[in-house]
Amino acid sequence: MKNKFIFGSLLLALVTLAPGCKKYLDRNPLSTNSQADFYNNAAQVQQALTGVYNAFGARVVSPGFNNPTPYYSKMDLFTELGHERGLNGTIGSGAYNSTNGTVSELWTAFFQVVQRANNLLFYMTKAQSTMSEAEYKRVQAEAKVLRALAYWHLIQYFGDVPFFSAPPSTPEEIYNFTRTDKKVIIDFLIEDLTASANDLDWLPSQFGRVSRGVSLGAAARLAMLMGTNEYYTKAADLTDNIIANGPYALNPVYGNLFRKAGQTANVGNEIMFIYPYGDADPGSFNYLNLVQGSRNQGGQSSHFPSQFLVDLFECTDGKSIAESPLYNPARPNRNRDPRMKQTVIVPGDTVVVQGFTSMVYNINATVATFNTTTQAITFPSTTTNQDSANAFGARQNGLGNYWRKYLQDRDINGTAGNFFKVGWIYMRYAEILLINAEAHMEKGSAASVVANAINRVRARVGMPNVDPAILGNAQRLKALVRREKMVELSNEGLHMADLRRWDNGAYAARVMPVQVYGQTTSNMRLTAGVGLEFTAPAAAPVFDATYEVPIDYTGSAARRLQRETRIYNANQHRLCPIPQGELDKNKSLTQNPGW
Amino acid sequence: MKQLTILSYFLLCMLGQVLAQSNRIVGTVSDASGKGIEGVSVSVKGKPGGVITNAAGNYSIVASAGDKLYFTSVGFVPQEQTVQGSRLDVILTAANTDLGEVVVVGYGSQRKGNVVSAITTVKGSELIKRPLASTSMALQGFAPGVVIQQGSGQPGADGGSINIRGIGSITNSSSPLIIVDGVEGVSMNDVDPNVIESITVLKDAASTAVYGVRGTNGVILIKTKRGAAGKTSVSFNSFVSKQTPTNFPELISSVDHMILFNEFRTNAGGAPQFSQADIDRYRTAPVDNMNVFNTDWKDLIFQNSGLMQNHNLIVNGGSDKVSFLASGTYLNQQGIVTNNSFKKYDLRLNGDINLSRKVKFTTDLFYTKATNTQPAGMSPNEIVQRGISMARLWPAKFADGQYGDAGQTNRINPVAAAEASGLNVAETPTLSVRFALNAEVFRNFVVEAAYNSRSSWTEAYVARTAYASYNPNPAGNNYLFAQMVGDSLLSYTNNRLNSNQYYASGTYSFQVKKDHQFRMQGGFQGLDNLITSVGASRAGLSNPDRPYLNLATGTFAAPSGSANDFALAGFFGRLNYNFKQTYLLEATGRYDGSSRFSQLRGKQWGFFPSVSAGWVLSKEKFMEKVDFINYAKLRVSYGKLGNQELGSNYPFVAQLNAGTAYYFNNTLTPGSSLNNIPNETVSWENSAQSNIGVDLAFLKSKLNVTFDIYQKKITDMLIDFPVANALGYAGSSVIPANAGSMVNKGWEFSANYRDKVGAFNYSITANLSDVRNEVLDTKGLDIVQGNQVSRAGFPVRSYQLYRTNRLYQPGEIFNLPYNGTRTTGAGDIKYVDMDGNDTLNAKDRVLMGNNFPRYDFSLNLNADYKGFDINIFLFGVAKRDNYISGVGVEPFNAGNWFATGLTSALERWTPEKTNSRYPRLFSGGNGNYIASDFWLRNGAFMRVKHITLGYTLDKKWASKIGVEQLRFYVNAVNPLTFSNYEPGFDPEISNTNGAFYPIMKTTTIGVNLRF
Repeated sequence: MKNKFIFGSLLLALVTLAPGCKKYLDRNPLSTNSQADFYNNAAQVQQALTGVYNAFGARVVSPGFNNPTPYYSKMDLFTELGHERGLNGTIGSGAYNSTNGTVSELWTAFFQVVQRANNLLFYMTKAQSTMSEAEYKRVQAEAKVLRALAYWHLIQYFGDVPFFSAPPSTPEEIYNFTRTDKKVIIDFLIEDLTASANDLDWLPSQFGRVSRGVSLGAAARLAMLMGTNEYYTKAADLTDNIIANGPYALNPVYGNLFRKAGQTANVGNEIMFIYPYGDADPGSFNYLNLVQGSRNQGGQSSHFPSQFLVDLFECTDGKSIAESPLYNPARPNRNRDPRMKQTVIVPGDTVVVQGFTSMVYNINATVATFNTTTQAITFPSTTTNQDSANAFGARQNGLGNYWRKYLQDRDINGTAGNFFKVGWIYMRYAEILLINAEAHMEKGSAASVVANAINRVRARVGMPNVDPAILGNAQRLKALVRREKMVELSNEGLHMADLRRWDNGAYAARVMPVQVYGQTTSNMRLTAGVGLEFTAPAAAPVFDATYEVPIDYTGSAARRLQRETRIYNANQHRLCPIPQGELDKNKSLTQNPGW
Repeated sequence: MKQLTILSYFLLCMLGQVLAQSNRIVGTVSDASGKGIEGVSVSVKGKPGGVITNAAGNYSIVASAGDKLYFTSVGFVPQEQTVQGSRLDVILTAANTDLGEVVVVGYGSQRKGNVVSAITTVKGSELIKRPLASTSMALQGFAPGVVIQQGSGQPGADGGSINIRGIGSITNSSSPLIIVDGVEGVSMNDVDPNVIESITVLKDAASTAVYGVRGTNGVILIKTKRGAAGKTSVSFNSFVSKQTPTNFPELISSVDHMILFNEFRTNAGGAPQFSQADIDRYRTAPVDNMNVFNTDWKDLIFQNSGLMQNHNLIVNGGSDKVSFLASGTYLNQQGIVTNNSFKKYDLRLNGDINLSRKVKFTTDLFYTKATNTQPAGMSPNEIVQRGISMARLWPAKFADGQYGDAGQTNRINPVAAAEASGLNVAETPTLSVRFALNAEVFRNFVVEAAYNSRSSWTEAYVARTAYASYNPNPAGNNYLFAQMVGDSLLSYTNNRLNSNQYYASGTYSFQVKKDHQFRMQGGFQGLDNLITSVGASRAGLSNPDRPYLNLATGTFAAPSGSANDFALAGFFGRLNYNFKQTYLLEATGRYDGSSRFSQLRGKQWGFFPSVSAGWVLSKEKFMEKVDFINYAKLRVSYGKLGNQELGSNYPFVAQLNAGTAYYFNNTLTPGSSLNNIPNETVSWENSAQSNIGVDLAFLKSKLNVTFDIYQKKITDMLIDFPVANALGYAGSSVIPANAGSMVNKGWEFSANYRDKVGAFNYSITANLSDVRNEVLDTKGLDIVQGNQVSRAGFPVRSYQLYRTNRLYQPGEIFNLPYNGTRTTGAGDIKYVDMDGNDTLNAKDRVLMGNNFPRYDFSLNLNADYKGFDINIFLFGVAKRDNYISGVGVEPFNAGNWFATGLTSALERWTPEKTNSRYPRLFSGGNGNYIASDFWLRNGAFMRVKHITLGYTLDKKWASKIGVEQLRFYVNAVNPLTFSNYEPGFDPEISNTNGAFYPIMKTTTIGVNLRF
C-alpha cells in the first residue's frame, strides 16, 4: 500500500511538473531589456527615442582619440573650406579608396541612426494605448526627423543608398538589400516629414530636441539635394513656411552662437537643433579645442580652415579682397567681414591662452605676448611659437590659419582646458534663410525676394546690403548667395552637399583639383601704432570670373605656404565610394562610378 | 505533453504485469562479498521463460520441488541448483574478468559485460595514487580518447582542460558534461579525489544520447564512495608535497644584457646604450646592489614555499537500516609566487537509509569552501612574464627591503607587485544537498526521484595598496625615496549561483521466454540555474587588512549588478535487450528542451536518439575451440546529439543597451537601443556519432584489449555571418547561424596485462589514441581566433602563419619587404612570398599545423611485492605543434616595459655565427616576430608523470598497533620530461607568450591509514 502511495505521488508529481515545462523553459534576459519585452509604456518608448538621439549625437573623431568630439566638425575639411592636418588618404585629398575608415564610419554611423529610429517606429505601437496621442505622435515625429537627417547625410555622401523604413526581417532584406534611387528616398522622407511636422511644436519641448522647424528644415535640406526646379520650389515653400510662421530670429551677436553661454540663452531662438552637453557632468565635454586649437594653447591642431575660406570673406565694404580698396595684404585681418574674426584665426589675431598668458598669434618662430592690462605687445618674446615651430603647427602644415568658430569660449574662460561644453549646432535659422534665398534664386523668384533673406543674415553682422548692381545680374547674385552660405555656415559641417550640387558638379570640378596654398610665409613685424604686419605680404589671389571665389594663387605663390594638389576626378569624386566591407558582405550592392 | 502520456501509459502497462502466482520460490543471488547481484537470469531448466533478479539480488519464480534452477549472469560462472523448499539463496562466483563489475552509465548502471557503448571507467583507488590538487589532472592519461591539457601550475587553476574525442565546436564549448552523483554543474576540480569511487567517461553517442543537447562533447560521471553495512572504519589519508617548476627560462646576465642590448641598438643603426667602461665595471666589480646589480628575478619572485598539504579523514559504516560515509579534507596549496595560494575545505556526507526492504532514501550533503589568493597589483602570470623579461642589472629589492624601480619608467617592479601591492582574495563556498528516493514499486519495477539544490557564492575583493620605490644613491651609500607606485583601491564583487535539479525515472526489467532479457527505463530531468552578481569599488582604502567598503574614503565607482538564468528539461528513455547475453541491443532517446533557444520559433525542443548493438562472439559455439581468446565482444553504435553551450544564455534575444543616454534640458536622460541583430532561429549545434569497438580478453583473461574506432560529425555549427553595417548595428554586425560542419575521426586502443609471479603482482596498462579533425564547411568564411584559423579542408584552429626559409645570410638579396616597410638584413628571417607578387602581405600566410594533441599515449605500470608497491606512469603526445611568442622569443621587446633576453638570445645570429637558431637582434624587431612558422615549435613530449613507491605495514604488525592498514609512500610528479621544445618552456603549456604559471614538478610523502 505504501509503495502504491509513493508511486502514485511520483506519478502525480510528474503530471503536475510536465505541463509546467513549457513555462519552465521560457526564459528571457533578466538584467537587460530585450526588444520583445520593451516598448510597453511611455517611459520605455522615450528611452528608445533617447537612443536615437544618442546615435545621432554621439559621433566622435576617430581613430586615435576616444573622445566625444562631434564627427560633424570634420565634414567641412572634406571640402575646399578646410583641411585635415595630414591630408593624404583623407576624403578631402581625393587620394583615398573604398577601404577608407572615415567613409566606413560615416556610413555605419548614420545607418545606426536609421536602425534605431526604425526599431522605435516599428515596435512603439505596443505602447500606443498607454500614451497620450500627442506624446505618441511627437515621439514618432522626432524619430522621423532624426532618420531623415541621417539620410540627408548618407545621400550627400553616397548618392543612392539602401533605404530602410522598417527593421529588416527577411533574409533577403538582411543579406541582399540593394540601393534605392535617392529620389525615391527623398520623396518618401519629405512626405513623411511634412505629414508629421505638425505633431511637433515650433520650439522644442526640451532643449536638445527637434522641433517643427527642424522637421521642415530637414525636408528643405533633402529637397535641395535633388537640385532641380521642382525641388527648389519645395525647398522655397518649406522655408517660406518656417520664416512666415516660426518663432525664429537671428541672434544679434553672431559670436554668441558658438559660445556655451550664448547657446543657453539662445537669443531669437536662432539655434533650432543642437547637440547639448551636460553642465554639471564633468564627463560631458568635447575635444573641439584639442582638434582645432593652437599648440600654443594646448590644442593638437589637426583641423584647419583653408586659405580659400579666409580669402572668401569680403571686406567691410561688401567687396571681395580682390576688388576692395580696404584690403591690405600685410594685415589681412583688417577691414573684413566681422564673421571672419569669429570663424578663423589668421596671423596678427589675438588669442587667450590658459587664462594667464595672453599672446598674439603670429607666424614667427617665437610668440608675441600681449599684456591685457597695458595693451602692450612684447615682440619677440623668448617662448618658442609652436604654431610656427611644431611639425603639427599651422605653419609647418602649410596653411597658417586656425579655426576660431567653436573656440570662442577660450577667450572668456581660458582655464577650460580641452574640455569644452559648447554644443554642436545641427541647424540654425540663418541656414533656413540662406536655403530660402538659394531656393528662390534657383527657381527664379524675384531678386528682391532673394536679397531679403540674404540681407537679414548680412545685416546681423553689420555687413552692407547686397549691391543693387549685383541684384540685377543673375550670375553675380548666384555667386553672392553661394558665398554668403559658405562664409556664414563654414565649419558647421553643412557644405559638402552644396559643393557637390552646385552647377551639377561643375563648381566642385573648378575649386577642388587645385594646388593648395596657405598664408603668407613672411615674418611679421611690430610697428608702433599699427600693430603686427607681414614684412613681405603675398598679394591677394585672383578670383574666378564665374564663381567669384579666390582660385588663382600663382601670382603670389612664392610668398605663400604650400600644400599638395588635391585630386578630384569629376566622374569619381562627386560621391564617396560605398565601403568595400559592405560590398564584400552584400553582393547585391553596387559601387559608385569611378571607384 | 505527449511524452508524459507515453510514459504514464508505459507505467500503467507495467502494473498489469503483476500477477498472482503459486509455488513461488524466492531467494537472493549474491556475490562473494554478500552483495546482491542485479540482473541475474533465473530460469527453470527445461521450461521456457524465466525471471531476473532485482537491484537487491532478490528473485521469485514459480517452480516445483526437484526442478533445477539455472542462474546465469555476465561476468559470473553460471550455476545450477535443485529446488528444495521455498527459498533458495545462491552465491555466484565471479568469472576471471571484470565483466561482472557494475559500471555507472547515464541515469543508471550496467554490468560491464552488457555494455555496448564506448565507456572507460577509472577507479578512485587509481586516482588517489596521484597526490594532486586537481581531479582533472589525476584523470590524465587514464582514458584513451580523453585529452586533458594542463595550461598552468597556479594553485587553484592547475586543472586541465578536457576534450573527449577531439574538438566539438569551433566557437563554442567543447567541454564534456560533468555529473557528480547525479548533480550537474559541479566543477570536476571541486570533487575531492579522496572520496571518488569511480569516474566513468561516456564517449560515444550510445552512452551520451540520454543527455541530449548536452551530449556532443561526451559525459564524465563521477561516483563518490558510500557507506556500507558492517564495521565502522576510519581512514586517514595525508600527504605533503614540495612543488618546483618543471622548467623555467634563464635570463641573460647583466653583462650579457649590456653587450646584447648594444648589439640590438647598433644593428638598427642606433648608438650603443652602455659604454665599454660600464660593461667592464660590471665584469669586474662585485655585485653590491648599489653600484653593480645582477638581480635574480626568478629567485625573488618565487619566494613562496610551493608546499602543498592534503589531509583527509573518512569515516564510514552503518547497519542494514542506515549506512553513511563522512569525509573531510583540507587542502592547502601554496604557490611558488609570493602571496599566491589556494585553500580548500571539503565536507561530504553520503547517507543511505533503507526505509523498508524496497524503499531506500539517500541524502548527499556536500560543502566545499575554496579560497584563492593572489597579489592584487599584478596577476601571477604577469609576474612570471616580468620575471622572465626584466634585466638583471636593474634593482628589485635593496638590503633593508626597499623596492627598486626595476629600471622601468612606470616603476612596476614584479617583486614589489607580488609582495606589496595588496591582495586579491576570492572565497567560494558551495553547498549542495541531494535527496533521492528509490522504491521498488512492484517486482522489478523501480522508481527513483531526486531533488538537488546547490548554491555557490563567490565573494571576492581586490585590495590594492601603493608601495614606495627607491633609487640607489652610491654617493651617500643609501637609498632615496623615489615615488609611490600603484594606488589604494578596494573592489568588491559578489556572485551567487542557485541551481535546482529535478529527476524522476522508472525502470522495469523482465524476461520473455528464458533467453530474452529486457530492461526499460523512462524518466524526466529538469534543471535551472540562476546567477546574480553585484559589485562596487571605492578608492582610498587605508588599511588593506580591513578590506571593507565602509573603511575606504574615496568616491564609489558606479556599482554593477547583473542576473542570468537558464533551464533545461528532458524526457529520456532507454531500452536494453539481450538474447542469451550474446546478442545485445540498446536504444536510447531523449526529447530535450533548452531555454537558450526561442520558444516563439519552436527552437527549444529536439529529439536525440541512439542505437547500439553488441555481439559476444566468445559465447558462440565456433569460438569454444579458440582457446587463447577468453572473451570477445563486438560493439557498434550510432546516435545524434546536441551542444547547447553557446556561450550566451539568450542568443535568440535581441538585447537592448541601456547605455545610450542623452542630455535634454541639461539633464542626462536614460536611453536604450538595440545592440545586436535579433536572431530567433539560432539553435544548438548537432552531431552524429558512430563507433565500432571490440573488447577482447586473452591468456586466461590476463590480457584485456579494447579498441574503438569512431567518427563524430558535427553539423549546424554556429558561425558568425557578417552582415552589412547598413543594417545599423555598428558594434556587432554579425548574425550567428547554424551553418558550419566538421568531423573528428579517431581511434582508441587500450591494453591491460595483469599477472603475478609468486608474491609479485604486476599490471601494465597502455593507452594510445588519435583523432584527426577536419573542418568541412564554414560557408567560405575564415573563423579567426588570434593567429589560429578554422577553414574548410583544414583541422580546426590551424595556425595561420607566414612560411619562412631560415635566415638571410650576407650576400643574399634582401628585397622582399614585409608590408612594404621592412628593411631586411642578414640575420633576419627570410619569409616565403607564397603568391609570388614580390611583396609580403597577409595573403602570403598559409594554414599549417595545429595545437591539438595527436597520438596521446600513456603507460601505467603497477607492481607489488609483499608490502612494497610501485607505480610508474608515463604520458606523452607524439605529434603536436605549439606556437611561442612574446617575451618567450623576442629579446628586449615586451610592450609596456623594458625587457631583457633569455639565454636563448645568446644563440642569435651574428656575422660571426651565421648558423644560428634565432634571428639577429634588431631594435624594433624588424618584422622577425610576426606570426610565422619560425616560431612554431614541436610540442611533442613524453613525460614521466608519476612515480610512486609505497610500503604497507604487514598485517601482523599493523594489528598489533590496532590498525587495519598502514601505508607510507613517496611520489614524484613530472620528474622527467623528454621533448624537443623551446628551452626553458614546458611543452604542455599551449601557445605561450611568456605570461604563464609554470607547471609543477612535485615531490610528495604520504600516508594511508585505516582503522
